[in-house]
Amino acid sequence: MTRPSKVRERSVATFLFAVLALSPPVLAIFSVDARPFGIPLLYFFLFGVWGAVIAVVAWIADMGQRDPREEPPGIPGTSRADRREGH
Amino acid sequence: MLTGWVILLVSLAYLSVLFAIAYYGDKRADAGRSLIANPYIYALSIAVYCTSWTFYGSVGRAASSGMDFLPIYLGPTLMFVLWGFVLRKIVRICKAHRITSIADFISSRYGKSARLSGLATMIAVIGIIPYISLQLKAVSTSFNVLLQYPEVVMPRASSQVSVFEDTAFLIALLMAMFAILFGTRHIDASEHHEGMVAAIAFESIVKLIAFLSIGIFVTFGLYNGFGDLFATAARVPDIAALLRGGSVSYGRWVTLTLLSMVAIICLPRQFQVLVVENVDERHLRKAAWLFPLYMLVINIFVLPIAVGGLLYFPTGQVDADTFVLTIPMAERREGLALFAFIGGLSAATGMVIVAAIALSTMISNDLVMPVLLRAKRLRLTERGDLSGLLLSIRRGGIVLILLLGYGYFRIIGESVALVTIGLVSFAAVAQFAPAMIGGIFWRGGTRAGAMAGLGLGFGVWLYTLLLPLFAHSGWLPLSFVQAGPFGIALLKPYALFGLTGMDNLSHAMFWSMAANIGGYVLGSIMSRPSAMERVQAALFVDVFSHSGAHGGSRFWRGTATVADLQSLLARFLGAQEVNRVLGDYARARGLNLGKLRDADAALVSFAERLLAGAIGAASARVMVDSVAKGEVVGIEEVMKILDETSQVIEYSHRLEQKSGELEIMTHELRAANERLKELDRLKDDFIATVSHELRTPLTSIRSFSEILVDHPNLDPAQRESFLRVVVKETERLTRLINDILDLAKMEAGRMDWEMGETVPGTVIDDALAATGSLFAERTIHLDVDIDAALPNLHVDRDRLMQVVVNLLSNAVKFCDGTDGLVRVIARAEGGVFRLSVLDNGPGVPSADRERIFGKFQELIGPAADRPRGTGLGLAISRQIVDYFGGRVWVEDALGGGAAFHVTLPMGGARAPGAQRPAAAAQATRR
Repeated sequence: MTRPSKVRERSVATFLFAVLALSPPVLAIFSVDARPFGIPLLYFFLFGVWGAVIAVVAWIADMGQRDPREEPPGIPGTSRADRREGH
Repeated sequence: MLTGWVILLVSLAYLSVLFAIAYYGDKRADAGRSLIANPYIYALSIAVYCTSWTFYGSVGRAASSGMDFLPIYLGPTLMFVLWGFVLRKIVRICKAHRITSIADFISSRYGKSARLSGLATMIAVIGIIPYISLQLKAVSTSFNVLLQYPEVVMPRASSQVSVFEDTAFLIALLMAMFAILFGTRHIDASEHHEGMVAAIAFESIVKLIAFLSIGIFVTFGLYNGFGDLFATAARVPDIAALLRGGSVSYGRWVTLTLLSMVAIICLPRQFQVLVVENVDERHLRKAAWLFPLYMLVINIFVLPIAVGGLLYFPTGQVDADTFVLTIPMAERREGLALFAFIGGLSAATGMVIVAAIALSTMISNDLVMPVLLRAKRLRLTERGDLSGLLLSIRRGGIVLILLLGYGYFRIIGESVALVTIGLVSFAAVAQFAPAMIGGIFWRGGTRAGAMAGLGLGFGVWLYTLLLPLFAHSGWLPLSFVQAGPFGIALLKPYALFGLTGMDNLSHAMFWSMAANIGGYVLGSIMSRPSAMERVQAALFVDVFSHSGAHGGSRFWRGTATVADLQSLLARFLGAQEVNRVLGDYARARGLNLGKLRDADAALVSFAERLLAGAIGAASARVMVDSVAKGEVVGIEEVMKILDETSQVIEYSHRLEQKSGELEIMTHELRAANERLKELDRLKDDFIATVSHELRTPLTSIRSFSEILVDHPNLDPAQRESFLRVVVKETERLTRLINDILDLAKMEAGRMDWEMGETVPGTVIDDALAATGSLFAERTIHLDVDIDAALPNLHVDRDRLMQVVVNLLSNAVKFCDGTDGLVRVIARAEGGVFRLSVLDNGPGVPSADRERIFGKFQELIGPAADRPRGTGLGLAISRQIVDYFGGRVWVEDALGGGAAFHVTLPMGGARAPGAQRPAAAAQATRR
């Protein structure tokens, strides 16, 4: 069941932002000869967006860690102690 | 120095390190001190996604078409942004149901169907073989290139050397050995391979450092940093175009992004490391950003190396796929070149090993075992220890897969670039996406739908991607691609049904996804799922609400003896292990298995899941069926159980609604009851009052009549005076009864009204004339002020007169006894006729101003001059005025008396006709 939570909303928002920023029309805007810091603008933009998205995901994941609803329940038979040894 | 045996020796040394790490990892796991139980190792193991395709192919891709290499890494990043929705759900499902492969996942979701798991396995194997061959090709090519040192030339094709001299073959064998050693050590209910995962994580570190080293060498060794490199490159027109993004179409960009998005969960090896090998769901949280970060870092130097290579080898005699290797070679950096080779080797081995293990698990659990178990002739379900058989099948599977990969490489691989081969595999596994993603979010997906979708999608993939590859390598005539089969242009595999203008991959993805999703949705809608399918659908879709702990036991009502279950499990998992696991199970639930003869549904279900971890859901089903009697409960009951929760919610919701309604109704009923009681009381009062009012005149009539009868000799004057009293009281009685009848008629809406145009002035004059005697009797001064220009009213003339007479007689009764003054004013103001009758009596206290319009509600004045009215006059007046649509009320007159006002609408404001009785009835309800 999907429970509404800030973590989920932010994840979706980040996803939508990433889809937009990495969409071809937006990339076409940056497809020019400029080279900020010596790096072609398009690649500068691509890696910038990529890095930013990763940072936001990290931030959201960290936020979710403090949300007890996000934690998995214990499932018998899958915990480490249940793992078997070789024969 | 870089002779063949040095390279081989270093490679073998590296592989030995891998073996050592894997061995150590397994030892640690056996000792219960896991090496891999942390999110960092987990994230690194997911980085098995970056294969030699990344290591060599990305550079080649970037050198030929610019930023085309990136979507393959952006897609997984996007999927990981949504990890909380998709990945976490899949991991949770797989842990709850002990799912060990994609085929198992899909078959499990759609009712543990063996046919579906077989189909999925076929797709996975056929789809991944090219990918494995790609890795072999990369290793073989890089080895051969390195072998040419110090020259930088492209080596001969592998197909020109014999199989046993071919390095690719040796490598394939070594990888098979590794996979067998660390992937099939034993049958494990949870299918964790800790040693393998540890080795993979190590490989991820090696390939990352190797690639970064080359990148740093090119960028900072050959050039003075990024600025210098790109500035030099920008002066070459062809390369400048790459820096602007190169020749990437929108369609291809989107296709690649979507493809890699689903590939990150649908590739068997990704499913293996991401889901099956996951030891703790919480590790996902960190891996969600660590793994994308890994991809970002390893991609930073792709473009610099590509550009550097293009600048270094401007004539194009060197394959861009080998730049990682050839640049250090040309620069005479032997160590670096060797390190690059090792990096590429680790990227390739990692992929091949995990893929081989994942596929062999599928082949044994989802393809071979179900067939063997169903083959009655083999009587496998009754035979002893089967774990050996299972392991043999898996080991055979690994060898088979690697041989197939090698064969594919010998036959086709040479002619096609790395990336192209890889994308063909991506497209194949993407066919799993609708059934998988649909399966975890849509309860309605059925087995028939999944079969149709997978089958159709795979068929189209085969036709539009794989067969053309065969054609290009000479297996099929090239005319098959160029002119279509049998020369039918509409069926050309790269322009199916005349669809042109897309690249081959986008074209294939379009048609295969259209067929796949279409088949899945239509098939699901048109088919009726079995009970088992519904159970599994619910367990998958609602995995977060159905606790995984009791799996599907609620849907199972079979029985089996504990001993039977125990021996069944022991045949696959080993007796000691089974005793331990079942012991744990019993302790956790406070059971004593030794004394228990029959296993309950929960235990049967637990055993099935335990078995599913080892041999797949479909096979486990068959095996448990062989010892357990009973079956999954009927479909109606299943639906009942499934809907239990939602129904409880529904019920409580409905109850709440009902109780709300009841409350409102109770309230209304109570109000109605109060009103009824009030009315009853009023009726009693009315009857009492009427009786009382009737008795007073009757009493006097009777007593005077008796006097007349008893005393016949009364003197005539006295007699006449008594008779007058009798007549007067009789009149009063008649008036009273008439009033009561009028009021009753009006209240019941049965009054006959004779509505007509009426001149108000004359009505008032007539009323004054009728009451003239009253005024004369008491010498009251009358002051009449009637507007000459009053418009006509649409009323019942007689009734209006009754009102005016009532008001006048009231005024006479109550006005000052000695110096009485009554004023009558009639005006038309603001569209309303207004009649006011004022007196100079004691007035009406404000508290009584409504009450006096009730029945028999006369003001109790000083007893002496108690007025002798019927007590119904004002009540009747109000009824009449209400009926006319007007208003009657009382207020203080100037100088202390009472002022009665009547307002009536002018010009027939109320239409005569049918609504009258209703209006009258309404009026009575006041």
